[in-house]
Amino acid sequence: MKKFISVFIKIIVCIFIVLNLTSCWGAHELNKLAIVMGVGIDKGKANDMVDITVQVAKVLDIKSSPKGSSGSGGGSDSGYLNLEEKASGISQAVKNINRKIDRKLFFSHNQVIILGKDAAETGISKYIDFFLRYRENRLLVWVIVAKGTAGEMLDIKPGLETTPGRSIGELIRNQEEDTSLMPAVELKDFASRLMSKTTSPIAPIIEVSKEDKKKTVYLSETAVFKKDKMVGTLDKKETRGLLWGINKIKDGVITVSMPNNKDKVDIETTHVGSKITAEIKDNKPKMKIEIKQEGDLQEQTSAEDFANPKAFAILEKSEEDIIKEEVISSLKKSRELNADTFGFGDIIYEHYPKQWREMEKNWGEIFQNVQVDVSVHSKINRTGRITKPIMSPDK
Amino acid sequence: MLIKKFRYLKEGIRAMLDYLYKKLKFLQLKNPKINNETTKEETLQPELSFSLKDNLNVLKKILGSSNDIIYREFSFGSRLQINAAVIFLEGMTEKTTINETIIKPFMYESKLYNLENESELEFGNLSIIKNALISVGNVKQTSIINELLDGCLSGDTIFLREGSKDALIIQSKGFETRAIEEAKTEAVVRGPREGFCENIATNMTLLRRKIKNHNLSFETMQIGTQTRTSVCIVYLKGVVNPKLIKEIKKRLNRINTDAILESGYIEQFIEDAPYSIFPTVGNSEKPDSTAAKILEGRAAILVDGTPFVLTMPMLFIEGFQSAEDYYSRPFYASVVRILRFIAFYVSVLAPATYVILSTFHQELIPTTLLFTMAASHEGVPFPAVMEVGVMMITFEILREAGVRLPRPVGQAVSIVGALVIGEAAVSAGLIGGLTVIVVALTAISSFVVPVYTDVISILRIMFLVLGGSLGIFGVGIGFLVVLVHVVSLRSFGMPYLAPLAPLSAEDLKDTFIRTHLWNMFTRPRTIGQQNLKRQSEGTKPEPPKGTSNKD
Repeated sequence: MKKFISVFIKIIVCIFIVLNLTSCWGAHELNKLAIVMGVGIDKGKANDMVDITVQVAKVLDIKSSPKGSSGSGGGSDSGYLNLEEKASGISQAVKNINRKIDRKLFFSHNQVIILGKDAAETGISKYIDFFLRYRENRLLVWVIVAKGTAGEMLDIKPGLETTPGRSIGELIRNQEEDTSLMPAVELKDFASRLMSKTTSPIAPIIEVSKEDKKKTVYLSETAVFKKDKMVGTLDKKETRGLLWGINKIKDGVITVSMPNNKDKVDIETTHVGSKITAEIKDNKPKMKIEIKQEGDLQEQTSAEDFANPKAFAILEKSEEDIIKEEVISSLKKSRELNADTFGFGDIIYEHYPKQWREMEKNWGEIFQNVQVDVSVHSKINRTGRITKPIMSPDK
Repeated sequence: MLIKKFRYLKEGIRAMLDYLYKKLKFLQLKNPKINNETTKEETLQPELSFSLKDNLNVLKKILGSSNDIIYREFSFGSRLQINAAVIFLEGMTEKTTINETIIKPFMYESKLYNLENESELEFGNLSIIKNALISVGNVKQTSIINELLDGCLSGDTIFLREGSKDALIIQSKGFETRAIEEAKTEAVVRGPREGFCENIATNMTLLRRKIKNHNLSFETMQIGTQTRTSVCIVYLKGVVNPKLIKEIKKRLNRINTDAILESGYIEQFIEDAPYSIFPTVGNSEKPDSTAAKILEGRAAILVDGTPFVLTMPMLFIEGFQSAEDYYSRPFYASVVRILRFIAFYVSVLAPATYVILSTFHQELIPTTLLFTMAASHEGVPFPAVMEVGVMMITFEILREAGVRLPRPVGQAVSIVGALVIGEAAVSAGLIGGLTVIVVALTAISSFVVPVYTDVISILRIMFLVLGGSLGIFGVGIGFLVVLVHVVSLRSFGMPYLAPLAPLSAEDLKDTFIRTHLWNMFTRPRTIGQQNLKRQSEGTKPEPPKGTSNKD
């Protein structure tokens, strides 16, 4: 029996030794983590320096605030903490931040990467590398350009959400899914455009509005990059033109003016499919943008009855014109900026890789003169819940 | 180079295991031999003699002078010329049987009958007594002392007479038993309530009442050198595989132990994988589910003194089947089946998953949930593994206490447990609120699959340790090891994971879902091979043909 016990003890010891060999690598308890909700990157005052703002969620404040807003105590009642640091690179800055905070920064739940305007204009590829390389970062982080400094954007208290980082992230998610007014750019899309030789990266611009004294952030325009430097912006109309072209529209309202220029009809987009194709004829490339759009009548301010095919045809026609105009205006702006936002270069390369090699050298010139055909096909399906307008026609 | 190294490692491990195995074997051999031959030495004289006095003396010597053994000597015949004796155990026998049908005929009726030739009664003739005097159904004539002793000790009355080498074993069993009650372990909402009881004869009757078929066979044997417990193999001839019965008999005959007090003793002596945490012999407390298993082609073993009947072979899937699945309609029964599988996985993997997520793979948690988890873990002094481990152990302690304690005290335990686990630990900041939810969910889920509750408890702790030390990798490896082990198991020659692992598409009718009864044409392929057909096709209920509904 004694022998048996000694053998048994040996087995137990073996198990413990084996367990120790693993040493629980990669284990970090939840209460030893600082969950990063947003990262802001600004150009430092000195050359080659970067100002980084890391937003960390204060989970206890977030969770206890709805319980009793009166007597929670414990300092600020905001659910976040912004840490700022200056360094030569992002990872350097992140390490430096760990001198200020007693927990390990945890990037997996980072919602947004906000690039300050200065940083964007001087080139951003050196900042993006860290986010692509470091294991904890996700490729689904939203990339945004701030009008102003990024740190400022991360310090504006959100109305409903708990942390500014998450608030801005959700704002952009809405763009992708519901509104389709501004592009929603994930890090992987941004990076793939950045790596392309011709296609220019885009990112939504976030701005602080100072209406009603209360500061709020909103998405205003679209930043256009040439290589890794921001060269200009697309306004609301041009942005949507671009989104039509690159098939990023999921929803959205098109306002059609009636011939009398007084009444307006809003058509809600329900389904969009667009395609850009390239064709080379006589050594000259020709681009073709085909957009198919379906929509429902959502609102009308006139008393006219549209519930007939004839009226639908008129509405569809003017809708097509509006979309076409938006696309063309966007294209015009892109040419002004000499930035291939639609990604024509890559499309030609995909279809005609041999011819592309020659074109590549003077693509800038070709892009300015390339013939682009925009064809739009709109269709209105339904008139909403009611068929006839509520107003009776004036007599 | 690497392969060479690997080979060394493999050989090293094999050498280590060989060494351990040898050590264990050696230790087992060193144990003192158990002496099972104690009862045999008493039967010095194997048979009775012609002298009543000698016979009584021999029996008294063997049976001893215990108070509960009654030796009733008396005389009968017209001139009271014949001496006789009855021996019985008080308490094991029915008094009215002995008084009215054994002793009374000798004292009154032997005179009244005025047997024509009295000489027939004399010279040790037993057959006239057996034929004309004793009005008991089961009477056996024998001269072997061992048989007499077995009979006497199981509650029969022994009749001895002067001048006869033989004695009669007269059935007079009658002792206090628990009435047939509702099965405690397998409660049903719909279905028969009766459960087996401790008396083997009653249990046999219960089964006989379910299957009124002459093919239902009972084969009884005595096991246990000291306890001489009746063990009965039950099967349905023509449905069961004869090889299975042969194998069961072989394994039962191999048992050489002193006592069988419960069917669990038998189970542990005949099971296929004694080192596995998974049971390979099933048990049931309900005659209806036992009958259903016998009808599928399984064999059952009844053991005297316990309401738990063993059924074999046992398949993994049986743990997820309940008698009620077949009594209720198939749709909800199927939903419940799937629910049981989910509950099984939840109760095995939930604590490990929680620990993995909160210590290794926080990136897998949705952000909002992460906030909740982090907030509940804020200020908790222990790492998540310890937190969950401590809570699980606390739960096991409470469960054990609740089971063992007398009912009124048990309630107090559950109140204290609920308070300690639920409220106090969380509000004191010792344990996170989410941990309590996870452990509680785990605990409740494990009771959904009652057959595997103990298996689940062990697996849960194993996975918790693996998850806490190696993360999702450890749990993955552990899961594979368990899976490989379960697949490798056999129960009486049948693959343990039967309709799933050697996939038998047709038998899936009774696994994750339970189809209509009229759709189950065959018995399970692995078990009912001998006689597959259960029913003919075309028994689906339909409205009468030809009558169109004109309303």
